[in-house]
Amino acid sequence: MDPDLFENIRLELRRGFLIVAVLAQLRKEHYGYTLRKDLADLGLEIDEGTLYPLLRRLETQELLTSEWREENNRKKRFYRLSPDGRQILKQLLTELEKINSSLNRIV
Amino acid sequence: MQLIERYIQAVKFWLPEAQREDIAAELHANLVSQAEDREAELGRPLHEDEEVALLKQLGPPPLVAARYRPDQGTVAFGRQFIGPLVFPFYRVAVKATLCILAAIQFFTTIALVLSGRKDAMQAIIQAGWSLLDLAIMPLLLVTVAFALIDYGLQKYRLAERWDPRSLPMVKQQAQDIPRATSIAGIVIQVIFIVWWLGLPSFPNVIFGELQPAPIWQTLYVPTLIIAFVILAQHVVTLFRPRWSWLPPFVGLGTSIASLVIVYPFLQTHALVSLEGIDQTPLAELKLGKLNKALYYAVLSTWIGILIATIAYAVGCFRSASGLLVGQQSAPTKPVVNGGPG
Repeated sequence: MDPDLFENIRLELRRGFLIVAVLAQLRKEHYGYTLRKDLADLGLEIDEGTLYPLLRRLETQELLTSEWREENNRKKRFYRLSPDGRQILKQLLTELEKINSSLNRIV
Repeated sequence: MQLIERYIQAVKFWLPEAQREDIAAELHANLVSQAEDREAELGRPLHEDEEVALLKQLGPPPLVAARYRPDQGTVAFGRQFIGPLVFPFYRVAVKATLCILAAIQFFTTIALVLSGRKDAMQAIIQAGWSLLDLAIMPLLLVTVAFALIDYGLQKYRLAERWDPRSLPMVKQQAQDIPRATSIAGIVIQVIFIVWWLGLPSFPNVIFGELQPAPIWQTLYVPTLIIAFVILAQHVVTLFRPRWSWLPPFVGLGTSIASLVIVYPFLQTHALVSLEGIDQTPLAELKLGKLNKALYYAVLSTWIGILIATIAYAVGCFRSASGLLVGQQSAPTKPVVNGGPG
C-alpha cells in the first residue's frame, strides 16, 4: 500500500472540517496566531502555512471580515465571522450533523 | 528576531504584488506574537536554533507565499505532474518563455523589414507561424522541468531541508536603477540603431575602399536584434527601476548571443580584401598586416565579451539567489510592528 495514501486521505478529510472549525471559532474575534493557539488548545492543530492563507481566502469569499488594530503596541489583523459567514456556518453545522449521524449508523 | 525579518523579506518577494505589504505585515505580526509567546514561556529570548525551528515549521518562503496566491492551479494528465505549490512559478515561467519568444520574433521581424530583406506583411505572417512552431519545444521543456521540480520537492522532501540561516540580510534600501542610467541607455541605443540602419546606404563608412569579407554580412541582423533587446531593457527599467535583476539577465543573454555571432570571425583570417583595387605586392603585404591586426582586434573583442559574459553570469547568479529568497525585491524597509493604516 502507498505509505502516503492514508496521509492524503486524512488531509482531504480534514480540509472541510478545518473550515468549519475556523468559522466557528471566529464567532469571537481573533488574529491569526491566537486563533491557531485556541484551536490547538481545543485539540485541532493547524499549521500556520495552512491557516493564515485560509483566513485570507475566507475573507475574499466574504465569510469573514477583518480589521487592523493595535494590541500591545503592535498592529494585528483581527478576523471575525461576517453575517454571510454566520449563515454558511449554520448550514455547514447542520450538514455536518447529518453526515455524522449517517456515519454513526453506517460504521 | 533578526531571522524573522529576513524571513518576511524573503516571503514578500513571492507574494502577489497587490497584497504584498498587507500579507507580509500580517505574517510578521503572527510570527512575532508566536516568538514572544515562546519567550514568555521560556523566560528568556529565543536562541537562534529555536527561531530557526519556528520558521522551518512555517516552510520555505516561496512555498509559503505560493499558498497566498489566487492562481493555485495544477497540471495533470491522468496523474498530477505539477502541484498547486509549484504551479504559480510554472505559470510565471510559461509567461516569461512566451514573452521572450515573442520579443525575439518581434525584433527579428522589425530587423528583417527595416533591412529590406522581407516586406512587412510577409514578415508578420511568417513571424506568427514561426512563433507557434518555436514555442512548442521550449514550453514542453519548461513543463518537464517544473514537473521534475515538483517530483523532487515531494520525493526528497526538499521543502523540509531548507535552512532559514541561509536567508540574506535585510536590505534597508532597495537598489533602484537610476532613471538617468536608463535614459542614457535609451539615447545611446537609439543613436546606435539609427547609425546601424543607415550603414547599408553608406558602405564605405567602416571599411573605406577595402572589400569586407562576406562573413561581415552575417553580423548585420543579429547586431540589430541585440541593439533592440538592449533598448527594450532600458525602456523597461526606466518604468520599473526596481527591476535591478533585469540588466544582468539581458546582459548575459546578449553577450552569449554576441559570443556566438562573433565566433565565426575567429575562424576567418581574411576579413578584408583588395578586390578591384590596388593589388601590388606592397599593398598585399600591408593587407596581410591589416588582416592580422583585424583578427587580433576581433579576438580581443571576443575575449572582452567572454569576460563580460562571466561578469553577467555572476550578476545573474546573485540576482537569482536574491530572487529565490527575496533579496532583490527587498522591501525598502523591514516590516516591523507594521500593518497598513
